[in-house]
Amino acid sequence: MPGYLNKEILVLGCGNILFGDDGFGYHMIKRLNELKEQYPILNSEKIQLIDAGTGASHFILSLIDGETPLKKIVIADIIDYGLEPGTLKKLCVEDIPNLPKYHVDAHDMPLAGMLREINDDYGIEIVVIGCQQKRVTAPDILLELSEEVTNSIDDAVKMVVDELN
Amino acid sequence: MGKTVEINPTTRHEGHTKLVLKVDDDGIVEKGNYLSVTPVRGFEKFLVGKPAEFAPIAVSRFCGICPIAHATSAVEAIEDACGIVPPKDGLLLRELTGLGNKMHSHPLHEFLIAPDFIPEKDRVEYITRIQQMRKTGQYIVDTIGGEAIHAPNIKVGGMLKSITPSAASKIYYKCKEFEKLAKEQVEYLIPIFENRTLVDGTEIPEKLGYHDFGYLATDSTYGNRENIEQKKVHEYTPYDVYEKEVAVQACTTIPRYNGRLMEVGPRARFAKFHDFKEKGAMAIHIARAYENVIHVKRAMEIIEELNVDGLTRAKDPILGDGEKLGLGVHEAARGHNTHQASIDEKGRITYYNAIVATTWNIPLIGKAVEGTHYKFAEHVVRAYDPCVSCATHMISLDYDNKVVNEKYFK
Repeated sequence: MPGYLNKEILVLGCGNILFGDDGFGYHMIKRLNELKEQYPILNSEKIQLIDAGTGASHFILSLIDGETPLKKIVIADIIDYGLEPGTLKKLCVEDIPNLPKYHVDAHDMPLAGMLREINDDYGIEIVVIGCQQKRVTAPDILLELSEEVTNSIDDAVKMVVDELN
Repeated sequence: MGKTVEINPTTRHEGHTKLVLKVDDDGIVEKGNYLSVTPVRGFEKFLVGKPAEFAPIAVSRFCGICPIAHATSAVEAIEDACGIVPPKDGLLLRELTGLGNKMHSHPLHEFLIAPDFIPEKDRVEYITRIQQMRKTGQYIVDTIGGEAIHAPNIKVGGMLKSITPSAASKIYYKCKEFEKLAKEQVEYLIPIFENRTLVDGTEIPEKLGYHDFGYLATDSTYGNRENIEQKKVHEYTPYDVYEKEVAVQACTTIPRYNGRLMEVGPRARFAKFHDFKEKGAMAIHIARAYENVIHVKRAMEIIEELNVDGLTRAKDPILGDGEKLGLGVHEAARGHNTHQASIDEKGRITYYNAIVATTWNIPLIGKAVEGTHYKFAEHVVRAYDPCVSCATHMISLDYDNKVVNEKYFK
């Protein structure tokens, strides 16, 4: 199986770098990679950091099965809970919306249902480190995060590292 | 009298499209329009002015299914524009990453068509096989590309680094397993497609999906810019092809080669490189199933040919003259994928254009549903495995350089 499925913990940065704050996940993975010296846990063989973009459902989550030794998946993504932009919120599997099955389009498959199933079927712990977005510009391209979301990255990194310990 | 049938959205593929079909009193499609309705993304516009190295990173985001195919086309285009020739072992590794992507993508499509063709009693075994195949495809991308999705090792000039001898032997071993599964898949699927029978017993018309257009493919497994004359490629607007009320909703250009619509993808490659003469929707499925075997054989050949200690990346500076239009060609899972780029003397992108695989197939799919009952149209669509999100690049000028619709500039 792919190397990342042989780990114990996956950290997935989800979202699209091209649509403003949706790039939060990408920037989180980038920052975590930069901080490997400061946080030695990030170098652990048991952990894999992945810039999952919009492909997590196809390339990662849909390949998990009973043989996968994964124990935990930590997801960094934006949320929209109407909070102050940049506010960080830790979500567990119970907090993930229970969406009905969605069979129309494999491209837009939402993660929520898959994450719940992975938790139910294989007992893999799911934690989402969510950051309240300010602006997601899709379909217009904007390469920068908002200032508020940028300022939350270091705190979000600490939350991810806490989950790894 | 006849009537118009609209199927919106079409399902079990990637992206958003619909079918607008003019049918006669017996339900036979007289005129088929298959059009993308995914919003325009404008990649070609915002890439201008950015450093060349950003292109593979950005275009990997065209869509979540074939990031590798786009990154590969991008670096090939930039290398062509800058006169950079990657070293042999770098190219072998790059081809292998692309094969991993296809070895994941083709089985994924075989999963998407399962509800059409696979009896309930066989599904668990069928899908288990597919999942094992997808894992190997992903293992290759993960190991050689450096990451599962947006492979950071695909660089202008070659590949960032090589793999270890032990990784190479693991890939070889996994390819042996994949080959066995791919052959089982061929044995299982070909009779189903040759019998032309849906899982509910409905017989598929013999000529479903037949067309008389051309085939475009440049290589059996990788891509070769020498095998296409890009000057013969012209992009038309939907207004040149569809009626106005349909065209106004379409979000892709219509490329033609020598003025002709061309099919790209597994069957086109098979027609060009393996003397495959079958036609119709079922023939595409058949070619795709066989391609899984071709891909894995080539992957094993590459491992045997690869020198893991070889140079993987050319050291030339990534600079162009701002004028030369580089061409990057990659035979993606869904077909002939081209990116074109010009790079200035400071290494910035001055022009970018992509004609991605499904762009070629979109106008053709509409034509290919003509002549049979509209209830079979979805099976023609699905046979092409359309991946529409990345194809949405609308141009605003027609071939006489007349502005077609100003609103698309905004």
